[in-house]
Amino acid sequence: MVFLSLSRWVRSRGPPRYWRVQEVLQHARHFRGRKNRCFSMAIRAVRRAFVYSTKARKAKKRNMRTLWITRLTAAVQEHGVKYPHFISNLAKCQVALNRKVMSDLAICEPKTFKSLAALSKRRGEEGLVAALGDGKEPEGIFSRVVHYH
Amino acid sequence: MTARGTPSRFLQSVLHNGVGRYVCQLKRLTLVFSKDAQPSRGAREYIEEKVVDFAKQNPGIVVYISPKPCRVPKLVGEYLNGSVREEDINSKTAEEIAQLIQKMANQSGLDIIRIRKPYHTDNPSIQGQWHLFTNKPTSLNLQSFGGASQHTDSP
Amino acid sequence: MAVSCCGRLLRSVRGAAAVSLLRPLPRCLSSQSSSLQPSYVPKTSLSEPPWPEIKLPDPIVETEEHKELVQKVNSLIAAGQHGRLFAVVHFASKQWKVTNEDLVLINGIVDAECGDRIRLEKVLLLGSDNFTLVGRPLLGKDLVRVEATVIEKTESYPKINMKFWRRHRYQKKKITIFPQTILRINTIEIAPALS
Repeated sequence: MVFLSLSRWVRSRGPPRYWRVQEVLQHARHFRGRKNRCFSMAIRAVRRAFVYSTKARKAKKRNMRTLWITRLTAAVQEHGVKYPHFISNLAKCQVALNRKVMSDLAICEPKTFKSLAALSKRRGEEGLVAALGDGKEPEGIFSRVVHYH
Repeated sequence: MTARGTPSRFLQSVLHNGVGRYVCQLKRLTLVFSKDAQPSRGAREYIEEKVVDFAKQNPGIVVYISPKPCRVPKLVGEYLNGSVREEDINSKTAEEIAQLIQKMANQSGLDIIRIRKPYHTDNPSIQGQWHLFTNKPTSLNLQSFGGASQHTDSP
Repeated sequence: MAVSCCGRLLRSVRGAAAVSLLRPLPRCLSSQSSSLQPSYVPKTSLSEPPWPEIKLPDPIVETEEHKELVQKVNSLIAAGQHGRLFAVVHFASKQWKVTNEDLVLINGIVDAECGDRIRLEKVLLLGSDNFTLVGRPLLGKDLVRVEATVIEKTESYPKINMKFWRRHRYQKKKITIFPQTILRINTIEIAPALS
């Protein structure tokens, strides 16, 4: 006998569920324990992982900036300047380098960094002299501001 | 994708591409479509109108067109570093296919995964990398020995 | 535009030129000091101002040193003996420290086709082994020339952005793919003229 309607009784409930489950499990393969095998535990862990990665993207920017500032403080102390003075004096000299690039210079181009530290030190001294001298003397060379129109 | 969950690589280029000449990284483009089926309509329109112009503008890319009886029309791109990329052009318009092909021509065959750093240098340091003794006085290196220095005469 | 020196060309420590500082007069003059003797002030907490005494170098000496320095740097540049140059370039709202044959990844579209040569104009700093040119804030376009080629215009990997609040039945998942451009810095050239 040939059962013609046999194939209608045995339904394959479809590969789509399998693919949907695999999509989540593929992100959990490097987890520990049952989280890397069982779907209901994996999906909770994968959600947490995604949320942590989104939050970490914002925190990374903050952390990198503190790292650069720490490095600059250390590099600048070697030349006898302090970090807040360094930054404010460079800003007064109209030098627009950001902390990332300056920390790279401090690591890879020590001579350039030394010149930047000397520049800020000199500008600081000229500022002090100007403040003490009450404006009667001509302003220092490094305190001249370039005007763009 | 989490950082540890997906593979990652450093920024590279294939064989120092831009240093001398720029070489287009796509070498072969195969367009598999069906002559009569409905989903390949966009592919057929693209072939009628735009393929020849594209092939003339990019002489470095070989374009193969194979009409086969297939359900899903595909675009297969092979790159100079050996990687193959298959794209589905199922029920896409000719403009979309053109944009997709332009995008594939602009890419190189490197994997599209997380790139760790947005820069790559072979010479990071020009003035010499900082080390502990860079900004210290060289007098630290000197060692004085007590008593008169004795020079040995060598024949 | 300030020319600053570094390394072997670093100028000497400030000379002994005196700048007039307001000094507070000592309060009690002892009977021993007279106008003939140099005034000796015993060191107390108020005998000197709390800030360090600063002596700026003599402006004439400085201008001469500056002229010498500029000559030396000019001769180096003219002879082409500067060696490898690096530059700090401002591009796509970020600053990059760049040399020849560098790769740079820009998140975004650049209006140029693959293989086009581009000139990066906003140069903040230029340096080599022996000298640095610091721009205030930018260096002139006639002084530096940084050229780059567009190598690749890809897309980023799919970045997942997810929000989830527990016990509130709130979750959102967004997958972002954005275009990226890869530039290769070909050359950094410096013009042989410096004022």
